[in-house]
Amino acid sequence: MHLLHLRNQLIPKPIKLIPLSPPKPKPSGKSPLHFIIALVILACVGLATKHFIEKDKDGNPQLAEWRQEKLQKELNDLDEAEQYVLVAKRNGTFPCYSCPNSTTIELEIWEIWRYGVTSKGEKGRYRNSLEGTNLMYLVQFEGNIAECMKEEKRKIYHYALLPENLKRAVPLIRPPGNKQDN
Amino acid sequence: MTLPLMNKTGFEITCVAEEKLGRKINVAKFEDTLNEHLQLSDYGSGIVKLFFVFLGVSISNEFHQGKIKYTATEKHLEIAMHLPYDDLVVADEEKAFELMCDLLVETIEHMDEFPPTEDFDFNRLYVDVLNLLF
Repeated sequence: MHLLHLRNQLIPKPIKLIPLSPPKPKPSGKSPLHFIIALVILACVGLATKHFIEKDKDGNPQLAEWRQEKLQKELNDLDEAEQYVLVAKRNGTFPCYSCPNSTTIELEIWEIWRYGVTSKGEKGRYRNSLEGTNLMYLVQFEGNIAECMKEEKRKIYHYALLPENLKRAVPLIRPPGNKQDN
Repeated sequence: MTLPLMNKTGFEITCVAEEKLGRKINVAKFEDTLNEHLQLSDYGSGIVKLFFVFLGVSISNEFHQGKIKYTATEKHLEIAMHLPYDDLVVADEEKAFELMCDLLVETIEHMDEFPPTEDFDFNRLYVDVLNLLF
């Protein structure tokens, strides 16, 4: 958003080839763009030097309040996660990371492409990347991050035994979209 | 995740849903119906791609919230909307398709309240979608 804003400011305006009036002297001082850049740099420096350690009432070092709040939020986010499966929206060709001799695989509708886990901190991440994939996102399990990762791991390992995999001439060790077992 | 991009124009439909509900949501049939009968270019140059995500999760699920996002540089409109959860729970696939039709029509009907798309006739798209789906 900011980049777009900056880019719009940087697009040169149309040049008048025939001046209608004598050129005016340029005002002294910097352009607004310089001012904005300076502000951004100052803000970045400010963030980088923001105090992350404070002293408590006895003079002992402790995490600054903003760091404590950030930690707590990130811990809370790990308490809320979901394990999902991406399945084929229609029959077609999909990338395959677990095929022994091919980089693609034919999947039928509803067949599994990948298992995954997302935590609250990543909400919406997968929805954005669903576009152009021919995949649907189905929530299979909700819990904390550890529970969801266990569930994901069980499903990745047991994928090998699913009928949709056993019917293949060479069954896959894990779903085509899972590069690893985790 | 690196996957080949599909159509960069027209309607693209998918879903994010609880597994048992997602099995009722036939997004491919819905997408094909729209793309076979409607062309976004007939309604103006403001949108070349409409990516619609049907949300089949409870509204209380904070992972998946509704949203409308228009990217002017790509003329791309992304919409994510919740299907009525309680109705979807008791619906069969046919009824779920009706719920999808209702939601799309209702969303397009109110798109004129959403300002960023230039040169796109939502009113006419609404009429055509209504005629197509009902």
